[in-house]
Amino acid sequence: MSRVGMKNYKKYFPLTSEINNSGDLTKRSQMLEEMGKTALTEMALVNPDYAKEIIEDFGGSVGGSLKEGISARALREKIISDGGQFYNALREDLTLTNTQAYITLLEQMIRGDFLAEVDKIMSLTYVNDDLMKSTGGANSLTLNIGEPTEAAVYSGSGDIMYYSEGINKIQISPIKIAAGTRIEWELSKYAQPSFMKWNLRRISNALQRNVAQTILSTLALGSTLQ
Amino acid sequence: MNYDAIIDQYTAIMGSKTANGVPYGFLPDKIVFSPAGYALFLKDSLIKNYVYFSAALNNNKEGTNLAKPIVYFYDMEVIHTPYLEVKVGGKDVQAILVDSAQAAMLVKASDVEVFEGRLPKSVDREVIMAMLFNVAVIFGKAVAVITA
Repeated sequence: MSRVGMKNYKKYFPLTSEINNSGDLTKRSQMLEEMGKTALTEMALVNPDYAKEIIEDFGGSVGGSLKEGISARALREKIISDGGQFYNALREDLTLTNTQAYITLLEQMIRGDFLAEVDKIMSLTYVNDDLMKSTGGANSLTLNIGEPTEAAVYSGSGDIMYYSEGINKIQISPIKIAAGTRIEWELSKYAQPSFMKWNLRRISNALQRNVAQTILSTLALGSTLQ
Repeated sequence: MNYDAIIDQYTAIMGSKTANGVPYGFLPDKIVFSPAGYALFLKDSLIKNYVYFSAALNNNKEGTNLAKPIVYFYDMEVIHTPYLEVKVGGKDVQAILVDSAQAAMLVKASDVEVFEGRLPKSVDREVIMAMLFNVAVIFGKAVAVITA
């Protein structure tokens, strides 16, 4: 990081040492979130390169927390509201070989867009993220669904019935859905931010359609009250 | 689709019992409408009256909104989506009532991930978005469907 970069870095992250020395994880994550929301979004607008440097420099766990701490929607809105400036930077970034930070920003923008629209449909279900945490190579989940039993008064010697109607097993294997779009060189060359934004939004729209339709169709077909 | 059909399915979910006769305790908290179902819902004379009177009651100086969107129907959040396109028993589904906490499980194996790179033998780039997930209905009696 250059001297100028370091100067800006200090300016935007005055609490870094305090955060690193803080043993309180809750406090630390709160501070990181606050930082992510204010400092990094501002920095991404002022100079995307510094934001990129910081994401890269932090790396590891702190970088992870920092990235998690940013509200994707807030970042997206800020970046889109100043689309011209961001996409001019994006045009330059497209020519870089290491585009990790660019992808992070792009991802947050598209994911924020996706979540904003499909959130309501996803809220119809209970979200289980066990497979996201799976490290043992598991690619499906077997859920043991027990019908609720009756709570009753038991005498000292009685056996408690956990599932009076037995257990249903449901096996769930994830399906992979994907959508893509092509960004022509001319688009980035001539920096057409609005059209590029429109083009990128089509991916998240395609994914939204699929996720929403899958959830709604499953609910309708799985219903026993028809 | 009419007012009575919604009430019937609402009570059907709440009245669901196990084979032992014990109530599940489901409480529908969301209702999802297809565009056709939403149109019929809004055209129902009882709903029109509700909209009419609730707008009158909430009159204020912020200007006139002739027909305010319906956000809640009883204690169910109203969701209006074009993505509800499914047939059950050969009939179009117009609405789904659901106890969102218990009815179904969305198993996410990945977040929405974005891949970006140059297309082979081209100067263009592509952006791909992918996700691993699936959905399973856990308690079929916590979901009710209103068909055409």
